[in-house]
Amino acid sequence: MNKKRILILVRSPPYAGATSYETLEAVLVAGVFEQAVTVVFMDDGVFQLVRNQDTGELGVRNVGKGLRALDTYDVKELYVDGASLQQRGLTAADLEVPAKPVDAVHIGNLIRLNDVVLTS
Amino acid sequence: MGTLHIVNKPATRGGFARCLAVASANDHVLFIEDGVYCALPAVLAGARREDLLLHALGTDVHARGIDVLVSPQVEVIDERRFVDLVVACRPIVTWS
Repeated sequence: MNKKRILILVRSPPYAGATSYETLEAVLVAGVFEQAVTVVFMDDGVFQLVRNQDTGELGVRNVGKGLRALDTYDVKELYVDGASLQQRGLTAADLEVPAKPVDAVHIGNLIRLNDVVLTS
Repeated sequence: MGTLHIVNKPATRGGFARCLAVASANDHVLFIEDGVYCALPAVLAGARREDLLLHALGTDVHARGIDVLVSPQVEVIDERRFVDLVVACRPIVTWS
């Protein structure tokens, strides 16, 4: 299978519908098929990264736990827009999984380096 | 041909601003659906990106009656040209 470079741009918060978990599943599947996957969290998408998510009462799958599985699926390129974090009063210590902080210029470069960009 | 950025929501939804922040010089930006409202001069005045190639899908422009309001900076294109852009550009990013 041709290896494609896939960038997933996550801009929506978790738990507003099924989108975020479905996006996570797309990332995992791409990882299983050994595609080169990069994930960038920006805008309200940074809320997906917040640690200690507990969906027991809400009764839906836990995005935070899903994120922890990424490493196992060989998805290691995680980036977060530093300004989006800062605007929401979040720091690296608040995150479930480590993501490299980047700025808008760096995100632009990441987009150019990829064959396919999926947005959520 | 660079990246094709497809904007499908009005500027008030924030997607267009993010597109502008990360787009590289000579990238194409195509306004479709409610995104065509981004093609108005008042909205584009805040963009300050003369280095981007701006397009709006005619079908959506006509439907909303904004033909005469669209900025001269924006090229109104038909579906055929839309397909040409999709074929020529890589990658394609959608901003909502």
